[in-house]
Amino acid sequence: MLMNPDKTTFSKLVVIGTSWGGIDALKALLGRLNAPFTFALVVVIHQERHKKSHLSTIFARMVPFPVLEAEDKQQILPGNMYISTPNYHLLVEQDGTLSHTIDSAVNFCRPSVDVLFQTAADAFGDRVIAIVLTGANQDGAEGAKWIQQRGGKVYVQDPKEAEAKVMPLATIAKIDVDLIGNLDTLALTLNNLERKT
Amino acid sequence: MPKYQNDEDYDIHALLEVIYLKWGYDFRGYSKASLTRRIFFFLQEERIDRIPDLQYRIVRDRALFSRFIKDVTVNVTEMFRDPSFYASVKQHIIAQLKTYPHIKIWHAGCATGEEVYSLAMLLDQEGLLDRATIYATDINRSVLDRAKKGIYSDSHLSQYQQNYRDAGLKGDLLDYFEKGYDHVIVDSRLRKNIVFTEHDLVIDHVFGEMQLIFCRNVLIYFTRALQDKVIGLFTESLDFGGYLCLGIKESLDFFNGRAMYTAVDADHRLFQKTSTKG
Repeated sequence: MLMNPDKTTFSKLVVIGTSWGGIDALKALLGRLNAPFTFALVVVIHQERHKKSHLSTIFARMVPFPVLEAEDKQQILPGNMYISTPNYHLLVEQDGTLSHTIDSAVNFCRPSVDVLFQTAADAFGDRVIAIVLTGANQDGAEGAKWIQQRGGKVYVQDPKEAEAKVMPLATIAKIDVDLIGNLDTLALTLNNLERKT
Repeated sequence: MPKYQNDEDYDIHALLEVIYLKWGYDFRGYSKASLTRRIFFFLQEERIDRIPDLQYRIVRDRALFSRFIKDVTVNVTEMFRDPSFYASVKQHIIAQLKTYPHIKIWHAGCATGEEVYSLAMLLDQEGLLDRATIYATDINRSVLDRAKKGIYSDSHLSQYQQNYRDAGLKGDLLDYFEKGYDHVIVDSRLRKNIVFTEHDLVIDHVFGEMQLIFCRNVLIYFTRALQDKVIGLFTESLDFGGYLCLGIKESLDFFNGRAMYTAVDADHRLFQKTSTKG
């Protein structure tokens, strides 16, 4: 697929999935990113389903780039981060917008990391980079497989460092991942994307 | 930029065109990512290998098409989904409804009916149930049949009871149910003013003069263009001063006539039609 080198199109789409321990891991990872960047970040994090989430506000105060709770049919812009809403799946559309559903839970999760990863892979193929962080269930492993099958890359937080190992281990067990590293390494890898482009 | 990204994308578009031509159901304005997922699940269920095979068969097999509608449009719902939303309706909307001698309410996309009965319970506690008529509609006949019966598995009952309390209703959810062995049945008193009927937001027309329209977590399944069209339909169906209530992830942002509405509670997506000019 051809890339539009304009300011409204992201260079890479970085999709992140996490669950148990995810808030601390994200804080550490995001705090190490050099902003502004030309990729876009979309994050699914499992949260309590009936509580309004304040994560986007919390992260936005910590980092020098925009962090937004994903709105339905919102255009994904480079340099921004979008975060899931409890009790809604978060999906990527082919036109580069985000969408939501209340379809059944996947892996007992809504939002599900698999749903984000699979739709991102379908929409943007080899422009997708998935990052699997700490988490206490296997959500994300199947989606990571789709991403690789469609030419994207899969990076996993080193299970030794992760607060909950199940999610990273499930992905490592399912596919030959492109990188296993601690949060420092993952941040460095994202920062290096900017040099290559 | 080619119109279709790849062959699979082309197959989906062709399938939707054929379904529209043959059966008159129009899915062409649905958001693609989730629709594609549900179509692939349907292929698995039916043990059909490829979309072109489905396309061939769905033209010739009415029963297959009925199952397609049932599976592809099915929405998941629950009693008092987002309890704080119901608390907000109680706080912001009920007082005005009390000023009308008769209230017409349209619940669009009611699925299996849990939220329709949630609203009916709220109206009952406010003394409004007897002068209200609720038109509960959905595109999917099989979920409407279930909504009409008002029989629900008791597996989520404790969650629903919690939601009921969090929404600020008095007493206990079970006051409105008859308890069966592994299910509950909605009290017939709640059901008597509800009219369940098939309606497709995409192709069907305006639905009378309503004082309140509920359409929650339906618009997220539509593209911006279709959202604009459907909200236009609601706007035509809504009395001046009437209320439109959407899901937490839905907004009027893509609606041309945004200026006709005032947000009563923006966080909970409650809007009032306060002007007839867009």
